[in-house]
Amino acid sequence: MTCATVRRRLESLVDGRLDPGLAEAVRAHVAGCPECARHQRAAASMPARLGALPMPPQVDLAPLVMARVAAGRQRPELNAALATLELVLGSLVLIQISGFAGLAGAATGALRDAGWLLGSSGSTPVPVPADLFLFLALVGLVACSAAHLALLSRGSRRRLT
Amino acid sequence: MPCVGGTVAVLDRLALPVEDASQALARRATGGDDDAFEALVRRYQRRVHGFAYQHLHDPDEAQDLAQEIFVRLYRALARYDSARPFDPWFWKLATNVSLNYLRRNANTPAPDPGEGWSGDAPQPEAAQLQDALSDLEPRSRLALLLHYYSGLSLEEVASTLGLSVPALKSRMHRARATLRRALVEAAP
Repeated sequence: MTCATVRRRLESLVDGRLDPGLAEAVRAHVAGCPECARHQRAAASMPARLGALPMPPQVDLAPLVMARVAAGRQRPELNAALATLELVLGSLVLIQISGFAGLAGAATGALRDAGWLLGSSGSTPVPVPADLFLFLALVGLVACSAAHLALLSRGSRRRLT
Repeated sequence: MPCVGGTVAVLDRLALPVEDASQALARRATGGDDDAFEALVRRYQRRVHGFAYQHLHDPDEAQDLAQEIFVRLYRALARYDSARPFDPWFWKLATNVSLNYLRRNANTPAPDPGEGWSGDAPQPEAAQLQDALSDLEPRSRLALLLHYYSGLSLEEVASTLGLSVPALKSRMHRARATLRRALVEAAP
């Protein structure tokens, strides 16, 4: 049995997973080979050495963790209620400004304005900047509120499950 | 029979009431009991900090990773099924957080073992082993640490790493052989 063959089997020998005959042959080789004996000693001590790796200096992590948890924690029920309010108010303002029929017209206008902004049509009339700003701001508010609500409801479900 | 790091690990492995206590704390923490969560952190902090240190070899980074593991635990508690043992579930989470942490900080060079260590420097033999460990592929290193250092059973480590037990044994076998060769070559 060569040194390389013996060394390939040392971990199995340590774990007691070699056939008795093979284990005996490996032990016999190790007994007469100082270099393989060094490998065998290292293999045999490895589990204990891994288990005895030094611990870092003890630190009480609990206050640090609790501070991070508190900093990241939100009040999902209150936030969800606020986000719902944002969504409802934003929608009401939008409807109040233009009505349901107006919304469709506004959307069409917005698309036309977007086309103008992108410079795709030279014949499109220039929109009134304040109207365009108001419309885009309201659409943004509604979109933000919806995203906010979705995020919060997901967090709220996690905590309440 | 695995060797385990520390008395707490031994108790956690051998005494059922310790496992039950973790489950009970996790159940209470899931219901919003912050005191229970804090108690859970205190119960595991030493092992988690040690595990993080052996994974990263940097005391500051290890403390940051250990905190991140607990913060992620807090966020994930709602997904914990309290009818199941807490340890395998927790160490799976800790392993995933550790692998992600290492991936995020892949370009940060690891310091020498013992650097920045405010306590006694590790013994030369332990430092050699830490050096050799840091050269292992991360999942092999985690497998060895979870089994021999944190005291998880082979079945628990296999479940944590998403491997079959034979595949895990084979991986650990190769990793131990790599460590053994490195240590023999490093020894005078």
